[in-house]
Amino acid sequence: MDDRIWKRFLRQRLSLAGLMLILGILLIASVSPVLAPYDPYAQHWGKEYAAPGRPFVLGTDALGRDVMSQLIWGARTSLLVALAGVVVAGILGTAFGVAAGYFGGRIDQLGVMLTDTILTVPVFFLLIAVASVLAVRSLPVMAIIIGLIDWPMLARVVRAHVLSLRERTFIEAARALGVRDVAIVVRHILPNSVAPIIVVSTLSMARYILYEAALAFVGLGDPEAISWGTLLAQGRSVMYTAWWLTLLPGIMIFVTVLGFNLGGDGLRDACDVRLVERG
Amino acid sequence: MSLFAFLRRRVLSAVPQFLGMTIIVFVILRLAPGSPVDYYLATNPYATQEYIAALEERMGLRLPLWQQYARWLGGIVQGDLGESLSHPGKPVSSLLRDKIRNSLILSLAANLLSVVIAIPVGVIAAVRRGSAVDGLVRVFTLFGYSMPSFWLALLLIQVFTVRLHLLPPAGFITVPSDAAVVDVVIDGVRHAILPVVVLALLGAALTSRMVRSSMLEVLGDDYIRTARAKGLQERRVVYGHALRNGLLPTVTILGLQVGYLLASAAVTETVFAWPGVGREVIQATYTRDYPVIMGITVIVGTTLIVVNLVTDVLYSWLDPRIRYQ
Repeated sequence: MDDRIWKRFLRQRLSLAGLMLILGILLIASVSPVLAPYDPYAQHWGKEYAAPGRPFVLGTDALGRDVMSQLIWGARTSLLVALAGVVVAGILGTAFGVAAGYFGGRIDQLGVMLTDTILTVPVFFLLIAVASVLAVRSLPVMAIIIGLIDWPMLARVVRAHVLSLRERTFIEAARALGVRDVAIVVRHILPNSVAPIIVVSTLSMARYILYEAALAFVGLGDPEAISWGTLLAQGRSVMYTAWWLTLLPGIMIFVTVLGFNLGGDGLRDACDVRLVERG
Repeated sequence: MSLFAFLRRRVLSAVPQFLGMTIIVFVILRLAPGSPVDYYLATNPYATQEYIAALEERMGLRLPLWQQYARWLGGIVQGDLGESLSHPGKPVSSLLRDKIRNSLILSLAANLLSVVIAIPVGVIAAVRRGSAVDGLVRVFTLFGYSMPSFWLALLLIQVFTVRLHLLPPAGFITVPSDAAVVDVVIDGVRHAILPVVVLALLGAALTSRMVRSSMLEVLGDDYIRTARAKGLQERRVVYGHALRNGLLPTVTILGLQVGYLLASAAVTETVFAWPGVGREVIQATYTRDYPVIMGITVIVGTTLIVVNLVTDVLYSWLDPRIRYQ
């Protein structure tokens, strides 16, 4: 991405706020072992449901585990699942989008039919269904499944972008010079499609973080992982007494998702990418 | 292309979509590790090989995969979703009948309310582009769709139930079955308020954003410039001319919104213990009741296909230009 896009992005105060939030969460996730005051799994006997104060700044949960440490480690879980999901969806979506947009014809028809079909499957319901049948619900598996189900969104945007790119003079020139299709795609199409891919991926991060949290909330997350959704689910049954268990993990999810949405939204405006096709 | 021809083409394209959707659901659930008979075996440790074989035979699990799919699909088309595992002998379709109705009530009310909020909000933001109001709307929408629905739900329960004691926390109709109709309705409405508000706010955040951008597009059109150039009052330009065309794409947006709200409904229904399909699908995962999970996923998927079909046709009827693209 060139400087002009960066300048346009940074001029928007909301986008800047989004970037700050994203960087903040990334920082928390990358140094969580140092940052967390306690082992997030450590159960402090006799200290169950301790209210925020000393020595547990943000209180403890039903098993006497430190909430603050869980919130800090939860950032890692959230970001890892979302990031891995985005990578899977990114590879598939880009591959299908470029193939359909660049080669057109039969490949395009097939690609459009495939994406249209997958888009009619309700993503979250499918996630629930898949999570329920899995023998092992580990974080990587969840991330891969999210990516496998959700790539058509990106494929659509990339396809539309490549369709317009294909008609540009420099692509035509490359073709006239006899450059092979693979080389055109790798050297010209892909580098010029980075903007829409990044915009969609940033917005996808926000959505995947919500998916992970929601799955964990209904008890379909990785049972071993420290997750904001799991913490929130605990809080639900003790809303009347332990308010911190509902309030705090929710704030973390909200702020993180907001960061990615603000950032993605700002990038979209700065790069002038259209996400919804009309008609 | 005439409207009828468009309708026919669009309906025909929905058929492969439906088939594709059912194939995806079937393949994913059947290829997953574990067999549906596990459910019976878990409760019956003394099951013999013969018993398992008979069970598999009865459930059609010994047929080739494509035949199993064909049988399942044949059932679906006739409204037969198989038998529930956790309620032996009970057909899934009868188990879901009331739940579908409850989900429809929730979904219709939420979609309606969200449109009522989103259209004026989106239009005002577009007309006053770049103003403080527009900025405020942007913040509202971004906050709205960054908010986890289940968290918003818990916060609202905390405020309106735990602190203010104004509304019931969960459930749908809790009065005795012999209560007067008025009481039943009032009870239902009181239970519906919070879940409807949660879903409507999420939907409104999404939709008002799109209403804004489609209004902006129209406001930049030539005929709007003409209307202004001939000296029409700004109010008449916006509400008399721009609004009509600007709201046309809202029809398609509605299709998106319905799908979005369906996804959020699963967790929202769970939090409010609303007896709908969303809560049911999550409960079915705890007992691994595959026929129920598959049935609900197919019902929701079919709803999405139908809603998209209807909005497409409606849009092309309102705006015939679409048919020629």
